[in-house]
Amino acid sequence: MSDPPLLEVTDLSRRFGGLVALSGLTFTVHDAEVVSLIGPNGAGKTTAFSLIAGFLTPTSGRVMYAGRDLAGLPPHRRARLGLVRTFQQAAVFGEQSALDCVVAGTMARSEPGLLASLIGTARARRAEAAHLDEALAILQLCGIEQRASDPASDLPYGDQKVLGIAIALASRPRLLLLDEPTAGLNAMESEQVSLLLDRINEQGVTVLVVEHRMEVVMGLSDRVIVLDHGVVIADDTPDRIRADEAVIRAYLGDFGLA
Amino acid sequence: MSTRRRAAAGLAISVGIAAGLILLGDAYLMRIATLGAIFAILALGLNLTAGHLGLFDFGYVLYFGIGGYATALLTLRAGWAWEAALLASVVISVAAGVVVGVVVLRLRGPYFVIATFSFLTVAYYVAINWRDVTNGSLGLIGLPAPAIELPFLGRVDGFSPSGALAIAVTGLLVAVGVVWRVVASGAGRAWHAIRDNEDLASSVGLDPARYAFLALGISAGLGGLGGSLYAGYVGIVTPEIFSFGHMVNVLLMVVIGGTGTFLGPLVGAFLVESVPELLRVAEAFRLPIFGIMLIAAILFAPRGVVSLRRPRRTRPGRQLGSSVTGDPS
Amino acid sequence: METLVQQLLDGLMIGAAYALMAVGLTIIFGLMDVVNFAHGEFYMLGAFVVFQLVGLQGLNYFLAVLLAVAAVGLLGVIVQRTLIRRVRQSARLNYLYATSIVTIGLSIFLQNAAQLVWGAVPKAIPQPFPVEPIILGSIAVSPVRLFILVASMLVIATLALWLKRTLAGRMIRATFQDREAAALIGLPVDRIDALAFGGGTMLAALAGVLLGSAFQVYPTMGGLATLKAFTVVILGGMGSFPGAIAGGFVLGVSESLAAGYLSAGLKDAIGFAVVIAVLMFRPTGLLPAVRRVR
Repeated sequence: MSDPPLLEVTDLSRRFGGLVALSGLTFTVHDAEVVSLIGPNGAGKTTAFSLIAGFLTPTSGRVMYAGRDLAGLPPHRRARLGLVRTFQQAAVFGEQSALDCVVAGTMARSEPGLLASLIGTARARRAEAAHLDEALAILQLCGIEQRASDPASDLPYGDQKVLGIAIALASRPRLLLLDEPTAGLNAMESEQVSLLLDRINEQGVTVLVVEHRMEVVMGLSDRVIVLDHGVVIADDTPDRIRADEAVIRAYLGDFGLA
Repeated sequence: MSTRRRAAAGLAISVGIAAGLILLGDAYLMRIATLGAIFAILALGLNLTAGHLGLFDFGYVLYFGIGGYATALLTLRAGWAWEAALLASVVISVAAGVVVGVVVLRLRGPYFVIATFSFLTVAYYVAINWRDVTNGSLGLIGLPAPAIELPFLGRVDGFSPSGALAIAVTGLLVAVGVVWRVVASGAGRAWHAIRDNEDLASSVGLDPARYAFLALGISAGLGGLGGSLYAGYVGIVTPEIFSFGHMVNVLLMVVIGGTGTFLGPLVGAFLVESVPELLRVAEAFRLPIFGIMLIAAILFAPRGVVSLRRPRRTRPGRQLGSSVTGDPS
Repeated sequence: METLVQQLLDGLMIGAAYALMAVGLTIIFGLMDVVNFAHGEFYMLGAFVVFQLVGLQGLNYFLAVLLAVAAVGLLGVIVQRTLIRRVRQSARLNYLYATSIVTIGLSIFLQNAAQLVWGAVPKAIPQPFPVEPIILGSIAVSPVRLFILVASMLVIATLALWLKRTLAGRMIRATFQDREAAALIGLPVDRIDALAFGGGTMLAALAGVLLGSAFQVYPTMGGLATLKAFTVVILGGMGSFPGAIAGGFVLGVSESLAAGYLSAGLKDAIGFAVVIAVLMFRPTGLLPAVRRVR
C-alpha cells in the first residue's frame, strides 16, 4: 500500500459540550478497499461518519480525501467529489416512487444544466431520459427493480434500506460511507446487503462501513478498525482482529464471537 | 406525463371560466374572477416554497406589495408605460426575494417563519412612514389601467371588466406555465427531494441553499407579478397591500386547495374568492369564517380538496418537508 | 434630564410587559416548537375579561386580574388539548406549518369574536389606583405604571424560581432542552405541553391586563402585541429566557426613547428595523440560547 490513501483521517475529535464523542481518531482508507469501523455502542462511529461527510464540524483534526483537505466543505460539495454517505435509519425521499428517489440521487450531476433543464431543451430532456435509464439499472443492481413505481415510504424496511444504498450509488460515489447497512434486517436480508456491497466494491467503489454484525464484517472487509470510547484500539485484517486481545476484551467479549 | 395533463386541464378550465363570464357579461362575476385569477398567481407562488420545497414563508405577500408599489411608483412617478412597469416589478420582486433570502435562509424552521413574517411587517411600517416615496397611509392613487394585445381578442384594456379579466387570466396562464415548467424540471425534482429529506439530498450532492434561493426567487417573482396586476386593476396602492389579511387569504387558498399539489392552489384561489361572495356572506363575517376554515382545513382535510377524492392510506412518519424545517420533536 | 428619566421609566414599564409576553411565547415555542400567532389574542382577551369583570360586573380589580389570567390560561389548555395536540398526532402535514396555520386561524377567530362581544370601540379598565402621580424629586410616576413594573418583575422572578426549584419546573426545563430525551426517560411530555401552553397564554393575558390598565382595550390590540413579542424573541435570541427578558426591556426603552426624541410615528417602526438588523448581523440574538446539539 504505497500509493497515497484515498481517505486520510488525522487526529479527528469532536466534543458536545463537555461530552467527548470522538478523540484523536486517526486512520486511512485506500482505493478499492473495504474497511469496517466497529466498536461498542457510543464508541463514536456515527459521529466519525458525520464529521467525514461534513454534517458536523470537528472540534479538531483533519480529513484529507483524494489529496485534498476537506475542512469547511459542506456535505453536498463532498458528495460531488465522490464522498457519499448513507444513514443509519432507512432514509428515502418520502412518498416519491423508488425510481424517482434514485433519479433524485443522479440530479446533482446535471446541475450545471439547471437553466437548460428549466427551459426544457432537447439536450436536457435527453439527459433526463439517461438519468431514468441509469436509475433503473441501479435498482436492478440492488435487486429491488420490481419496486420501482411503489412509494418509497410504503416499501418494507429492508427494501427501504437497500433503496438508501441505491440513492447513494446514483450519485456515483468513489468512496461510499455506509452507516449500519444491515441494522434492523433479518439474516437473509443482511446476507443480500452483504452480497450487494461486494458487487459495489467490484465495480471499483471504495467502501467504509460501520457495522455491528460480525459475520458481515468478517466476510466483507479487507481491514477492520476497532473504536472504543472514541479511540482506535485496533486496525488490522479480520483474521488478526479475531485474535486481538484488546479487541476481545473491549468489544467482542461483550457479544461473543459470531 | 400526468403533471402536464393536470397543468393543461387547469389552464383549460381557467380560460373556459373566464371566456364564459366574458360572454355572460356579468360585471360582478367578472370582478370576482379577476381577483381570483390574480390571487391564484400568488397561491401558486406561495405553494412553490411551502408546498414543493417545504420552506414556510409566512411573509410571502411582501412580494405582492413590492410588485404593487414598484408598478405604482414607476407609472406615476417615473411615467413608465404599464407593460414596462410590470416587467420591472417582477424583476425588482425577484431581487427583493434574493436579498431577503440572504438573511432568512440562514434560519431554520420556526426561526424562518418568524423572520419572514417580520419582513412583511417591516415593509408595512416602511410603507406607512416613508411618506416622501409612498405617500404614507393615503397611498398612491390613479394608476393607469393596463392594456395589452392578446391573440383573438386584439387590444384589451383594464378599464372594462372583461378586459381586466382577460389581462388577469393572461397573467395567470404565464404563472401556471412557469410553475409547471420548474416543477416538472430537474429543479422540481430537487425541491421535492430536499423537502422530503434534506440531509439525504445533500448527501447525494444537491445544494439545499442553491435550490432554496431558486424557489424563493421564482416565488417572489410570481408575487411581484400578482402585485403589479393587482395594482393596475384596483388603481391604488396603499400600505394595506402588505397587510396580514392578504397573507391569510393566500395561505387559505393553498391550504384549502392542497399544499404541495399542482392544481390545488388554483382550485383554492377560486373557492376562497368565489364561495363567500356567492353565498353573500357579509363582509364582517368573512374573516372569522376564514379563521375557522383555516383550522378546519388543517384538522379535517390537511391535503386539501384536490386530494379529497382519493382516500389516503395513513403512513406513519411521513411529514412534508420535515427535514427542511427541523422535526417537531 | 427629567424627560430622559421619565422616558426611561415609561420604557421600563412597557418593556416589563413585553418581557412577560416574550417569556410566554418562548415557553410555548421552546417546548413545543409552535410559533403561536394567537399570542396577542390571548393578551387581548386577558384585558377584556378584566374590563368585563371590573367595568361591567363591578368586581374587585385585583380579584378580576387573577380570574382573567386563570380563565385565559384555561382557554390555552383547551386549545392545546383540542387543536395543537391533534395536529401533533397526525403526521399528514408538516407540524410547524400546520400549527402556524392553526394559530393564525385561531387569532383571526378570537379577534372577531371579541369584536362581536365587546364591539370595536376602545374601552378603559376602571382602576383602583389614585390618579395623582407619585412625585420623586422632579420625576412623576403614575401609580398604575409603577404597579405594572413591579407586578411584571415579581411574576418573572417567581416564574424563574419556580422553574428552578420545583419538580414541575425541572421537568419543563428538561423537556425544553431535549424533548426526545425527556420522552425517553418517561416524562409526561403531553401534559407538559398543556402546562406550557396554558402557562404561556397566562403570561400573555397578564401582560394584556397590565398594559390594558394603563392604555386602552380593543379587539385588534393583539395584532401589534404578537408582533412585539416576535420582535423581542428575535432580539433576545430565540428560545432563550434571559434573552426574552432583556429583549423586552431593550425594545420597551428604545421605543420610548424613539417616541420622545424622533417621532411618535416611528415608534413601532424602530423595533422592526432593529429586528432586521439583528437578523442580518447577529441572527442568534443578543443572549443566544444554549440549545441541544444535533
